[in-house]
Amino acid sequence: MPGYKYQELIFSLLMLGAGLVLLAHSYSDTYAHSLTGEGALTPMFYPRLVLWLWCASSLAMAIHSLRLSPKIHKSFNAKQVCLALGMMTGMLALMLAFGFMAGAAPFVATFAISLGYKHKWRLAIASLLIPLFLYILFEHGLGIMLPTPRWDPFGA
Amino acid sequence: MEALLESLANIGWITILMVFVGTLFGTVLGALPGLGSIVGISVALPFTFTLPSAAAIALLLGVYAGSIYGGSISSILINTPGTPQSACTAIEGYPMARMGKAREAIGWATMASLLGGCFSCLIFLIFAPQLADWATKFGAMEITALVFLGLSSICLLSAESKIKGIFSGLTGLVLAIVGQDPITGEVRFTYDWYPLMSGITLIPVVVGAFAIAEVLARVDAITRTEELNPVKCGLMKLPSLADIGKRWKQLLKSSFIGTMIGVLPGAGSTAAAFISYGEAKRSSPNRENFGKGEADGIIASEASNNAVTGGALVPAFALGIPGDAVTAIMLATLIFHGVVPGARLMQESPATVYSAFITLTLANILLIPCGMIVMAMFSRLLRIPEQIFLPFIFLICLLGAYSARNNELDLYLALIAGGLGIAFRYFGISVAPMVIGLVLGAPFEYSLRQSFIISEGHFFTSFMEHPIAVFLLALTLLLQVGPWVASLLKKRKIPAEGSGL
Repeated sequence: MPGYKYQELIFSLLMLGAGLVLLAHSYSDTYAHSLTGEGALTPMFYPRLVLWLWCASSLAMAIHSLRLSPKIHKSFNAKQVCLALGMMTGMLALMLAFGFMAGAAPFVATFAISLGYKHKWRLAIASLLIPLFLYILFEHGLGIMLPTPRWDPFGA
Repeated sequence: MEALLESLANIGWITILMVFVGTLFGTVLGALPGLGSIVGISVALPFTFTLPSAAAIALLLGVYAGSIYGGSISSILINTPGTPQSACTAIEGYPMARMGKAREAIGWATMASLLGGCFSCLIFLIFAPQLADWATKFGAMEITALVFLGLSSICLLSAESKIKGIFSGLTGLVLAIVGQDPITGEVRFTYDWYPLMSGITLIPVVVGAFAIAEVLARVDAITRTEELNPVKCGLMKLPSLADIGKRWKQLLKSSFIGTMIGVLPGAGSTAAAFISYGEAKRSSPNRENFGKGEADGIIASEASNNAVTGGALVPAFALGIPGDAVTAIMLATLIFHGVVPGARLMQESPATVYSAFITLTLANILLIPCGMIVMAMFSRLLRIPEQIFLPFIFLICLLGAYSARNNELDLYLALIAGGLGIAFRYFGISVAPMVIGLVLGAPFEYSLRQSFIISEGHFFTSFMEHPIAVFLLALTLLLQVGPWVASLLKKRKIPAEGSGL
């Protein structure tokens, strides 16, 4: 694992790379045939200005990170945070594929277990009651429709 | 006056109920260590979509005021600030609690929050119409300069490093360019993906970058958190009028500092609390007691951080420029309900603005009963297992992000913004400028391009012919260069004094 100095440098360079990709896209053929005029009238006038500045600020951030001491260390449980982010992504995928309950119930259970929760019965009840409560609250209480699953076994 | 009376008449029982619910909920969330105003607002967001606009804003204002105040309870009872803006309260409040004066400490925190909040509402009532009246004279050039002032001050004031602040603000502007061009209507940066045509909206980005990132930050912190044992105390003891009379100068000064910092985009309640506490430590007649449990320290911190709420609403409602992420969400909620903030709102519908002021005042008054309720259940609140509470917060935030437009894209956006938010935190980049950049991106582009088109290629010559725009630009330069010059002069002065010795 690289030190904080190099992590910040990598992040800055990633942002710079993203900016350059977007900037290259703004000069691509997609926007070459604008019918609306020249200068400030063209749709790419402002985005190019902003993207150039964004790239410059990313570059400045990269230079700034080079001036940091290699001894700087930040305590951060990256493994746990990445695991949580992965579980969130999995929950979203399950919810969109099979519905809210199918995504939320296993998410609550796995999330709590990953953080060291040990009461099995309480966890089983919570992982069912929390999604059920939210489902009833949104669909029936607030009248807000939850995302429609792509695969619906009941054909509803 | 007519508008004020009209807005009083418009406040119905739903609005009053929502202020109470919002204040109580905000106080609870603020008192729980780690969860602040933005998480509270994000959780409350889906409820606002089904409410009338006045009640929706009342709910959010209640959460805003309550969450800032709630942090003081955990600061005093467990020496753990529930919110960053209550850090100074812990310095004085916890020693007071250890001396057996927890009831008095919370009483002072409540009274200072109430008076600070009400003071800022009064300032809001006086200055918002003046500011809006002035803003009616604004054309494209002036709006460009104004948005530039708002953006640059938030970029430089809210970040520990100026480069990172500018980067964050520009990230917001980059996010705002996705979707339809505001002038020609052509689509940009959508890569022929239909859902992106409507652009990247504020709500999923705020929910992700603040609330989901907060959940992830708690995941990081939970493995290192020790068990919390609150100091035992009964009901709060509010200070008597005579006690308030003895410390009225401190109350007034801290409220004034908080309101002024609130008006300034980007500085926020944490900065207000620290500046006010520092000033109290310097000038209070009881300054020798600071750090040992001095009520003046609690007053300085709490009166100023709650006074920020009213101050932040002045530019938000009068000019349409949010001072922080919370006011940005409020503006988004107003727009969702068909109310467009800005100078025209003050001219055409002043009752909407005044009802916000009245509900914020009410929220500040309701801090007393809400504080009492939260104190009574505080030790039970701490027993809620965070491992269960965090996924609940995540789910409700995610659904809140989705329910604004019922668009799947917003779910992805919230999650991506959550990942970006935690990365920003790790690298010490403030997220607030990104959010404000996203809010101001479209009006900035529109007014800037309009200015270029109107000036027919002579932008700078034309700009100099607009005195308000020139004044705003000068103010921007002063804000940016001023602190730099001051620190340079200070550095020069120190060696000069040193050589004299």
